Amino acid sequence: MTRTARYVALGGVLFAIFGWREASKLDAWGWDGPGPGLMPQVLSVLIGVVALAVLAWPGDPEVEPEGGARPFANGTFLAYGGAMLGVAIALPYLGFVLPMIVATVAMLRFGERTSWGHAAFYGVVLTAGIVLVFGTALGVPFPGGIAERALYSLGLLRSA
Amino acid sequence: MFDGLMHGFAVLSSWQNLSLCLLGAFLGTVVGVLPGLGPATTIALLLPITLKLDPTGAIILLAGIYYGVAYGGTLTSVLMRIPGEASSVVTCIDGYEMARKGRAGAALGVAAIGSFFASTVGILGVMILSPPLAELVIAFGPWEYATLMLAGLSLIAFFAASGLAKAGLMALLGLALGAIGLDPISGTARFTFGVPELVDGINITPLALGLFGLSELLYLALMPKTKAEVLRPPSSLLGFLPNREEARRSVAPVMRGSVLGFLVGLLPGGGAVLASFLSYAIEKRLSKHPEQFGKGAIEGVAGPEAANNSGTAGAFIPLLTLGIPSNAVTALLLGALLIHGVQPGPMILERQPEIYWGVIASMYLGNFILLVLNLPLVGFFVRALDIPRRYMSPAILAICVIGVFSTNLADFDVLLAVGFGLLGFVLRRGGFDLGPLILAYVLGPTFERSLRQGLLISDGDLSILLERPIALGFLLAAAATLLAAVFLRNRARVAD
Repeated sequence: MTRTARYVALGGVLFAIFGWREASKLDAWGWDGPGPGLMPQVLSVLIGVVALAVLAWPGDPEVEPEGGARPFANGTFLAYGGAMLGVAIALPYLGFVLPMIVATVAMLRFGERTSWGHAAFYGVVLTAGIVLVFGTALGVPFPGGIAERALYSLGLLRSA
Repeated sequence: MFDGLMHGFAVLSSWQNLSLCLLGAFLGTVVGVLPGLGPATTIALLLPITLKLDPTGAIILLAGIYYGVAYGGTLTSVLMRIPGEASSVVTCIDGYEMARKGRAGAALGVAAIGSFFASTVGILGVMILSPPLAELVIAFGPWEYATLMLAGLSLIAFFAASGLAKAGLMALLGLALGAIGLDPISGTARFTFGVPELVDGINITPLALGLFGLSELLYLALMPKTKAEVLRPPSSLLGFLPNREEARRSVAPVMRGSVLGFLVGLLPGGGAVLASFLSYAIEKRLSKHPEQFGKGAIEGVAGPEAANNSGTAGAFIPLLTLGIPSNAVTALLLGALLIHGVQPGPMILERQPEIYWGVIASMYLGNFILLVLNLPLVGFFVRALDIPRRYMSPAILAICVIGVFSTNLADFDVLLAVGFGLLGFVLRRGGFDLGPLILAYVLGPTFERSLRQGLLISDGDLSILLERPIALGFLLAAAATLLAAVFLRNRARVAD
């Protein structure tokens, strides 16, 4: 826990440095009173100071709630994280349906060690369920993709 | 007040609002049962869906989830010694011991009846205290608002389990995230780091779904696949009734817990979790048999359960009358209201009474629904625990992705949510509390606006605070809270 807390504190220091670089270009005080830079400048300084305090006193080295498992040595974590990132990156190009089916297959096959068939079946069922509940029933707009275009023409989805 | 409540029931009597109240209470109980998925995660997941609803319906649904969770968490605490959510942690101690002695029904029965009573007390408190408080707050100027928020944030940092520095860093980060985008007065871009997509600022949906939904997914991935033993709940409704001795011993703790929980719920950073812990400590101290605590004392279930439910109700007062949330969940409720263009605060009673009274009426009905639903459906709710992780995780991902995208129809928001998911995971792993971050993010724009208005009026002269006793009082309270936090932590360190 302490090591992760220190990484976060270092991130805070970096944010403070880059934040200050950007905020210092703005006026903290103008002819008409407090300017747009006042709050960002104050925040950058305070974040830097408090982050240094956390760096010095990162807290107790308690065991993490999940039992201290190492994320990058954990296949399930990597599969879940990869699926999340994959969907977010593919969304603008492929829409929601195809990336979500692939992500579900990846999570189940590589993260949970289920069979390919089971993973694919659940991927299709889940995605179809989401499309029907959110897209068809609730009218939530979906991002454009190959599968979505087919579903638009069937009247099951409305375009974003 | 009575007329207002009747108006609230009239608002609630539409089929849509009644269904939303029922759905919220039901979903809240299911979520409360599932360890891991807390109320903040569920409200974050459902936030985008509420965009399709009117503001009253949206807040009725989300509020139903909030108090439903407080009921649901009790079931797993008593039957499995696993708290469904944080405010049920204390119930594990004596509730589970009672269940092991074959008194699971009595523990659940006392918890349900006590919770219903406490919630009713809490809602009455909200009804009685909100209108005069709103009248008082109307006279507040920008300095009073700014310092009140500062005092609130200080209290949140004080109560945070992660310690003052970590909570402070989270609060400052939340304020910085709230400041990203165009300055509302001058239109200048701030903290955008050259990313054009950030010019519009960060919406609450990717932030909340990332921090609470997607980070939970990563946490679930690391959890070991173990199946906990579930003790048997009673098969008939009569089995939930406490015996005469248990009922007699429960009355006073329920009364005390109801009042204590309500008062703690009013405090920023307080809420249901702190209320339940305080109630347990008080009951143990007042008990004639403190040695029974930890071995199945009914007072250890009755008091904390009452306290956490009335704390849940009490937290609505600062939210609705001041526009200031007291914990992460009410911060998300505030976010939901803001998305719908509703600004909670002292004027809500005059300008949008249907929202205020609709929520109050839904709280009465929701708590009644929970009392009626909970005990007969214990078996069903416990079966929710059988849903394997492999089915739940992709569903959470799908709901998060489509929820984030549909709010602004922006692909970038989904990427941002994933980024916040990773950040939330790292922060939680580092022992940081996410509550101050989301609270400060929600409060940030109002805080900055009030501060800048105050500075403009006083032409940058801070000595004006000496002429404003209320603002000065809030400022001194904030300073005293921070100093007390430092002092208490140092004393604890020396004692260790």
